Amino acid sequence: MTKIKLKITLFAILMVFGTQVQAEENVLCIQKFLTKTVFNPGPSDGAWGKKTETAINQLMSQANNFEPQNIKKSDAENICKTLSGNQGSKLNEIGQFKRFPIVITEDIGEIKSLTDFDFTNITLSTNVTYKRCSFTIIQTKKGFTRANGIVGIENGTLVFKNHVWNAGLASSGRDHLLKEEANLKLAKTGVHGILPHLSWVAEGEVDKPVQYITLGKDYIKPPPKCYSCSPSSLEEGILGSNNYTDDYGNTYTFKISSCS
Amino acid sequence: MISRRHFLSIAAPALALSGYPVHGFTKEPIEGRIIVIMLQGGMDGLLAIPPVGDDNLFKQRKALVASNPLKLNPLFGIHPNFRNFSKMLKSNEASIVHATSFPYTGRSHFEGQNIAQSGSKLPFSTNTGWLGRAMDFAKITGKALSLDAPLLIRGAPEFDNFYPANIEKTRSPQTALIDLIKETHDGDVMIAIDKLSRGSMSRPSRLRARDPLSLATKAGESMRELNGPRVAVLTIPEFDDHSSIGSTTGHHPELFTLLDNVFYNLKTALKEQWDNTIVLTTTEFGRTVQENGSAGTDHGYGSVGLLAGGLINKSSVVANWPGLASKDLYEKRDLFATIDYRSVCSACIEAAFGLEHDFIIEKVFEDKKIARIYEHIFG
Amino acid sequence: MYKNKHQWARKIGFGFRPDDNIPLDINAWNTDQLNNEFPSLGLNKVGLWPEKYNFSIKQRLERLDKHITYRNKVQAENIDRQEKNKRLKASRKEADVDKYDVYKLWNSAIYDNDMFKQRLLHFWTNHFTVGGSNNFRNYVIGDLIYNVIYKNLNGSFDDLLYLVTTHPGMLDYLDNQTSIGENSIEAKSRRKKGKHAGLNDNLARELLELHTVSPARKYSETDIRNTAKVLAGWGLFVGDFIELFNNHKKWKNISGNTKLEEFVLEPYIKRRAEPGKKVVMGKTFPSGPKALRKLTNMLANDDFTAQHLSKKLAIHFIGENASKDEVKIIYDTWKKSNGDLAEVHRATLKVAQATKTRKFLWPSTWMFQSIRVSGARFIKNVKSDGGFGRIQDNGRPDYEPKGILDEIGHNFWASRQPDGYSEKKLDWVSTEHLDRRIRIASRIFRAGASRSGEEIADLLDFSDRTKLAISKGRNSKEKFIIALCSSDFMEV
Repeated sequence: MTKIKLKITLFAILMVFGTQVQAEENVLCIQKFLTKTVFNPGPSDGAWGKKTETAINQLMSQANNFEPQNIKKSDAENICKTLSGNQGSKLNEIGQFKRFPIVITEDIGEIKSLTDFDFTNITLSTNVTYKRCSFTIIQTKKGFTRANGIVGIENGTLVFKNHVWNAGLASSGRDHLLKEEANLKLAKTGVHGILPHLSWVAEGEVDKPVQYITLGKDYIKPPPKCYSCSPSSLEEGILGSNNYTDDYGNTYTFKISSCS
Repeated sequence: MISRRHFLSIAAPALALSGYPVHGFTKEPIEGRIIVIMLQGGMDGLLAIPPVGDDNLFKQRKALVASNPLKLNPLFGIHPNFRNFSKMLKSNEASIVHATSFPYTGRSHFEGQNIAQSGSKLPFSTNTGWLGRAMDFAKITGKALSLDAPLLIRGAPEFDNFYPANIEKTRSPQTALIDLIKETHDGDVMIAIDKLSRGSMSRPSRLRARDPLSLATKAGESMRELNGPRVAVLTIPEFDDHSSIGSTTGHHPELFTLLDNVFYNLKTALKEQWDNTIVLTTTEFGRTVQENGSAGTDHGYGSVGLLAGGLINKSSVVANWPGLASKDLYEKRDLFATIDYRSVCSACIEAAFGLEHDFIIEKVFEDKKIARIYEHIFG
Repeated sequence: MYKNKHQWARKIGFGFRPDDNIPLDINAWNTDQLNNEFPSLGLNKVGLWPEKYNFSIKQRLERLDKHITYRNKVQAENIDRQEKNKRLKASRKEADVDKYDVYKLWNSAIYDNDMFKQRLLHFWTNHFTVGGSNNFRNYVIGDLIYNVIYKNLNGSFDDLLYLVTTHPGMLDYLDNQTSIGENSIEAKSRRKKGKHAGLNDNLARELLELHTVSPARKYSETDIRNTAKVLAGWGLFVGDFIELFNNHKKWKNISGNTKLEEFVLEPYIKRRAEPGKKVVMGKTFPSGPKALRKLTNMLANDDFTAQHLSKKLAIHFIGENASKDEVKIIYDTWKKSNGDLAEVHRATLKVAQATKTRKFLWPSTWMFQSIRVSGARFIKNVKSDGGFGRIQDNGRPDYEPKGILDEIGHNFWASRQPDGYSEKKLDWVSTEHLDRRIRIASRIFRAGASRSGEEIADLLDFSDRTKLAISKGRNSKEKFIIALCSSDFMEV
């Protein structure tokens, strides 16, 4: 009887010991794998510590769309199988780099490009028609001309003709002038400048779909037709509030003058 | 958009007919587009993408951190001037790789720029660029938006450059004349003149703007054309800020604004092709972690790469962050580069052209082992 | 071998004008070129470049100072923004000297008889690149070119190196004026006020990498750092010279110079200098202003400098494919003469004469040769009898000469990197580059070329292939353009 008991006990001890060895081997297998990645498991000692647990969870999380994994010591055997199996090389590849997902909570707001101008505040008179006026868009602070050209006013709507734009950031230098027809697209609520080259508008035409500036009611009467008068006094009359400030704090003024 | 069949027939008849994978390609060639923006002079990656979660950032370069970076995640922020790029990050159309560099630690513009373009480990060892070689294998055409044809794009079977002239009282040269001139030349010059001749009908006769923003728009437009180029190279110079580099505002931040708007212009001009595009920046090196004596930074090692385009799957910052404590710096002065930027270049080639990673490493970069970062950006 | 005298004149110079006297004895002419027997004269009625358009460094800084003073005054005034800008622009235009400098470059290349010297001038100007800027550096670039480099082409390299390194333009370009010794009086004073002050290694790095020994020498980062320490204290922002010079005179311990023209030649500010000894490449340098000369002498006499620069000279005149033997001839002369530039240039000339290798010409070299060989006028406002007559008349040359250099991508006043313009053919043969050459050739034709395309082809012994192509040109303009844009003309 005692002999059998002894045998059973001995066998039980061996079983437990065996399982422990197996468990250590599994942890070691995981640690050795992780050491070849950027997820550091600590020393490869077969002991499942906090470092090992963190590292394997990070790797598997990164491999699974950053879903939390909750891998514990008891999962070691399965994990080792996965790492040693045909997913292993893929996981090794993923493990060469750490990835930090981006979560932007702040509102970035409406971004405009450097050549978008929103003159939604422009108010124009309804009864005015001039075939040709000169216009300029000036950066108010530095006095630097952003654009100029010819615009017509037909029954109160602005029709842009020839334009010259200062492209880019530089306010000086030879290449800043875009000497071809750029374009100003007329949007419902105002004038929007869009990027040069993007949609080329031929002289005299208006970009389609056609949308015009609605003219406000506050309107200053132009002086009576006077052939010898200088028309520059129209400048303040035609446009009401005509300033626009972009995202970088630059204020632009839209001016019309010399109408005929 | 070029129909798939049309592309296959002009690029490699074998592909259309064989029905089984051709050496080098994954399954079928992909019609993606690559745009490389070369930032010349050494871009200060820490100023662009400050690791705000790293305590040492403020200890090491207090005066050079922007006052209001946009937070991306617990570790990283982005300079506020990257408005458009940040929007792209928010909509999973952009990604960032940090603490990265081409395998070059020499800190010379001359050598560094050569390596950033050639993709080799030794400076001045090839006459072709990594992009040009990739284009050669994938049989793709490209365009450089500059007066010269940069090394990066050389080696491509077909490339051209675009940088309009501004010489008064001259017109675009006529084809007949160009062809006669061609008859007197051989070799590379003859090839270039031939290109000039073939392109002469489409050359603009009036002045066009040549600043990076306008050229970006032009690049995007060309890449939408039927049989248009699928690669473009843009250059933004003047990143070498040894003095008065700036923090929230200043010279470097102004360049960030310019770069940001280049991204915006590219996206706008590409329209539906944006979905097939990857844009990436390159720079020859980063800059010193600490400020120098002139309120600037000197040449360094690790920097950032900014990527954008519809081919990107999910926005993230990919970085094996080395840390900014003095002991973690390269030669106690520079951000360490823990990611080989060639991995990023390879991933972009893989995503846009469909060449296999191993093929790219062997044939394009002529190296044995470069880690594959594709899944982290495009996966 | 260059039997054709016109081709030879193109190989080492800019070619002969239709109205030039072709020398009977080319060897005597070569000797004259080297010995600078030709004063810088134009021919016929062109006459000497007017002395009033030669500006000394002092004159340049004074003009600049006048503009800056005016600018400060205007900006403080309460007038309309646009009016301010208008006035400032006018003042700037008035003060600008670089338009004269650029004109002079054109004029010298097209009319002067010391053409080999002019080519050397272009070479060394490119080697010691000082890039332009929107600030005031452009005021002094011409000084570096004409008063420093040109005047020292027959001197020793170590003199030239020191003069260039201490030039206000170079010090400003590579940010040395903001590089201050960490233990200097100035740095300590700034730190007390809570400000940051210290070194940057921009000039130090390029001095070693580009100007002298090159990376082949395998110097360390410490060498660069210590070079920066030797250089600390040298330089001021170009625009600050006059104002700060006046202030510094009050500072104690400023180097004993009391005249502005002496100060600008050696702009060393003791309170910004790093005290103590410095070790660079194994040699120790004392504190004080004399250390820099000792350092530049050491670099100038280093074997790697001789190797580096001999190769550059060979490539510039002979071509990218200059052989090792050809470089060695120049190098041997360099070593034997201890960097005597007259000897080195003589050796370069000799090697060029014997070579079979052709060089693909720089855009500006090609352009100047095109104008010169064809006898055209080209520059606006130039009288029909040649030269710069109209400059003397109304004193206001236009900006086009600079603009054209920009267009062809080869402008010594452009903002660019310190390694300067490439000597490699492939860097100059993009489609856009070639487009420019064709445009320029058509402009030259319209500017009254007196030699036709066919004549040029005969004169320079063009190949039959090229002559055939020229003959197919539909009119004289096309023939001319084909000749100038042929491989025979673009390479020599």
